[in-house]
Amino acid sequence: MKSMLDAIASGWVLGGLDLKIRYRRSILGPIWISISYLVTVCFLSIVWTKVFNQNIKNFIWYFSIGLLVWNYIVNVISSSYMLFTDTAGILLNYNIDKDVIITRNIVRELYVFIHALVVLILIFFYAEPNIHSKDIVLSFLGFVLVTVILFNLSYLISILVLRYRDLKEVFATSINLLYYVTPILWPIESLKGSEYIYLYNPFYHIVNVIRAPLMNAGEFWLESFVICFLIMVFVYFVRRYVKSKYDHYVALWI
Amino acid sequence: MIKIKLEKVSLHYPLLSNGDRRFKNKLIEIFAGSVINKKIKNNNVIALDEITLEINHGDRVAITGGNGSGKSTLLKLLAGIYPITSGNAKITGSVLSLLDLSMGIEQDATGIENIELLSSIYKDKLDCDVGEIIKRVHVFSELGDFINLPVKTYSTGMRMRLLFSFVLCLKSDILLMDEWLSVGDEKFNQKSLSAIDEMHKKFKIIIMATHSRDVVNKYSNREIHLINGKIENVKMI
Repeated sequence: MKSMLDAIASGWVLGGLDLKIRYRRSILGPIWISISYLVTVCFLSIVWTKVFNQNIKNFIWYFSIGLLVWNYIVNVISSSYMLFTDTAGILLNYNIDKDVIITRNIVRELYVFIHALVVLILIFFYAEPNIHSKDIVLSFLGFVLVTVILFNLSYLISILVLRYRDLKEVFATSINLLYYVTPILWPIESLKGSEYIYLYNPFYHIVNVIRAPLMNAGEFWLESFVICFLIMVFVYFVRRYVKSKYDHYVALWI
Repeated sequence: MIKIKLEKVSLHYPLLSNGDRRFKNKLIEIFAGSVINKKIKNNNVIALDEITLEINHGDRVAITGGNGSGKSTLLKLLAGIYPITSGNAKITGSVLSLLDLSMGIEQDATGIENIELLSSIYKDKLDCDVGEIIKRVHVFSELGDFINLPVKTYSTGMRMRLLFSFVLCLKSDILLMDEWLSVGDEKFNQKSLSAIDEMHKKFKIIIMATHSRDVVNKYSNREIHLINGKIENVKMI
């Protein structure tokens, strides 16, 4: 446990430095993340409100939360593809706990998430959703759970793609497809009678565990929370198994 | 007691060709069984072949040999970076490895930022706090204002100065170094070699891979010569 906490502490510093370096030569720096998210949310909300005949205030709130969570998931997953290859300089030089590398990746994406979250707060004042402090706590609990899932997934994806390079394309294609299959851009109500399309999709629950309490849909939160908890337990044990069996091959596979 | 003991240790390096890395071939292996499996079986390079050696507290070992003889691989194995394919290895004591001149540094980050970055990676090996390390690196490296510039503007020698100065702020029982001292200028190399004398007090065992006879004669008490992944001879100096 101590080594894991040490790894997370090191990864936290490294992730912060990464963001600083990434935007070194940019005038607005990480504010670009906020601008990009705001522009996407505004333009797509205007168009899709017309397509689905929705109330703009409800839809922009629903879409902006969904997109925020989805971007977080996709950014962590896609930055995991080449994570071990990109950090070969460290991995071939020092017997470092791979959790440092994974935490570094998660923290980098957490900083991105926080910059977009600022925009969500602005949208909150525009959309005026009826939410209480209890809903924010439930949503935060969901967020912690999702982060733990992503931590375990990031390791698994990194090591799998390192060994089997074709899997990068498999994951990238799947993620693109999942964006359209998961209710982020389109409202759940539009699938009335065919709910199974999203209910059997684990990514719906991963998004919903954060989004539902903020949408006055707290009654759907518990179901998603339980499913996400089971996903977390599953990926945790798979990661433990893979780590114990294949972790020391990482340097040979780079 | 700080000690390294290897008994018939071998390391087979897998040659993962594009075909071997493909998931398609793994699926074929699973469904088509051993007939096809034989055709796409991984090839291995025997990087280290039945190495047996014992290195004790106080030893300063130089590993010599031509290119591809297994010097760096042996250091990576001792560092725990590479796994052992067969044999037994027992390493008592903490290990610090400085094998590659990149050390994972970021080209776009300044010298100081890279020291902060390395301090996070080598967190458990620091002998003082990060602020003190930056001061010491600044003084020893003699980089002056360059320490505030991105590392991509440094020459190889300057990068070595930065990293070597950082290394002096680390502590461990065993130090593994791979041909580090060949890229600095004459003046800094002399300074570094004097610093190695100081390092002997800090590290119980030092193992260096080198091509330099000067380093072997001045700073080692044993020379292990490798040829094709095997120990050719061990010489006391």
